Amino acid sequence: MIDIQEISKTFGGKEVLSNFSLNIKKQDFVAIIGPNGAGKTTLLKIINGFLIPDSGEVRVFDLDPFKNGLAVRKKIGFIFQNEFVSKNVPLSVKDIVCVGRTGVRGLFKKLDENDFISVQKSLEEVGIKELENRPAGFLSGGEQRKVSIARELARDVEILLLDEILMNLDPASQMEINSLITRIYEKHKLTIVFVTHLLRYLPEGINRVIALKNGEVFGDFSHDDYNLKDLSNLYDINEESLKKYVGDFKL
Amino acid sequence: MWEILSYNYFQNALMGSVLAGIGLGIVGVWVVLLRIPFVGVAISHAAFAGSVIGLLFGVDPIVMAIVFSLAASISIGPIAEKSGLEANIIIGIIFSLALGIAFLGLGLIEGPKTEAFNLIWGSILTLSRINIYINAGITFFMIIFLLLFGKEIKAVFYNREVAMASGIPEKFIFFSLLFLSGFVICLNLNTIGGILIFSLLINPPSAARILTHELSKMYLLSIIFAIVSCLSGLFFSYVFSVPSGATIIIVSSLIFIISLISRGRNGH
Repeated sequence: MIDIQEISKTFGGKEVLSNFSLNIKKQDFVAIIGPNGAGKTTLLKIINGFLIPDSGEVRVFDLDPFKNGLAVRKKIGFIFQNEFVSKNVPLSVKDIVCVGRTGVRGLFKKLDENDFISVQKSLEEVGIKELENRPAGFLSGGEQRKVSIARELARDVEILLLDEILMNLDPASQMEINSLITRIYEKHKLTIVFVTHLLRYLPEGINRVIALKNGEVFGDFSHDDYNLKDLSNLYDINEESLKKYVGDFKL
Repeated sequence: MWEILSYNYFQNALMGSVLAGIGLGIVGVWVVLLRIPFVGVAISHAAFAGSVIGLLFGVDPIVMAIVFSLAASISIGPIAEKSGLEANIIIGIIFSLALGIAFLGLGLIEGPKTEAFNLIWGSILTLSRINIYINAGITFFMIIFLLLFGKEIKAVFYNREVAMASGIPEKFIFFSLLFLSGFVICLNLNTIGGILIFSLLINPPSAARILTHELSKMYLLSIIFAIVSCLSGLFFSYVFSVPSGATIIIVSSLIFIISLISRGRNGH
């Protein structure tokens, strides 16, 4: 479904991805971890065609995502790191979930009954139906994350790219969002790529953990061959210190 | 008092006020929600620079003002895109360049320069019927644009990156909003003037935003407040023989203050 062959990407003289290859199959539920600057967000933006690699080849749904940006992005959901709604913008929760349907419907066509049914279904699935008319800028961080998830669900996408969506959330909200993502994976059987720094809070159901370091694949683990020693090498921290941070690490 | 309504110049001023209210009321919502309020100042000074260059080279200053302000409004989006800088930074660069060109031109012009300053101060009572037709045309076009691309514009207000990731041609929408904003500002320079237009771009949508959390109501209230500001400016300037532009600023500011107080009372 996502096939990346020997790509490199340089920003300001620094090689963020270096001769990088990765294959993600349909219905994979993948966590991507790694230190800051390892190339995680760059990788997501290359997958959905926002960025073009300097060399190498990327195929998503058998298409080049940069050359076929609109077609590829219609089937990829993307929730960004700092995607909080400004209080300045007078949009309700429902308005924002409708943004998801706007790209699906296309130019010169009004949203119709089917779009509003999709919007209502995704609001219910995420558990924010009662918030639909509330101004989105005034919601809590956790609620705003749910709005973003509902927006992407309403689009009927096949791949979901989630870039550090637990950032700035309290532990209860992190756990709630993780359970929600697991439920969505189980129900819709999407291909999910979940970028995170929160090693203790990986959603249940993840079947691959890909560790990036210095723009390369440092490790591609399944849940049972992944241990504290690997993490220690990944983050260049000794195991004792890391243990204090991640506890008895277990997926 | 009512005989004034039979005069052509006053009828033109009334129609000009209503059209300016509709056009700037809508554009005001765009620039406030895109957080580029100084676009009005940059484009009006580009028009000022154009009119100075027109006078310097013996070309119609109004035509040159339109050319300069349209060039400014067309270039903001692509330059921001190419440079990777925020639109607000590019607006600042265009504003300072326009001022530089204008002052250079003023230094080189021999003879009277008052015509160049007309666009900065505006004069609602000197609008011609042609002005009205052109303003009506662009206002109509803007409303059509809003009806055709309303849902995409909403997505761009929410988050440009999300809009792009959702398969929406956000660059086309964003650049079109900038261009249309520039066009409307430029066409209303005669009416309101370059300096005063700023208050009409910011005060009505801000007052509207205070009173509602719904985008459609924000458009409606912004248009109403802008029209009320323009018409009352015209009325007070006639009754008390005071400058219309200054009155428009004061009325639009008062509307903002009243909205603020009213929100406080309603606990909105």
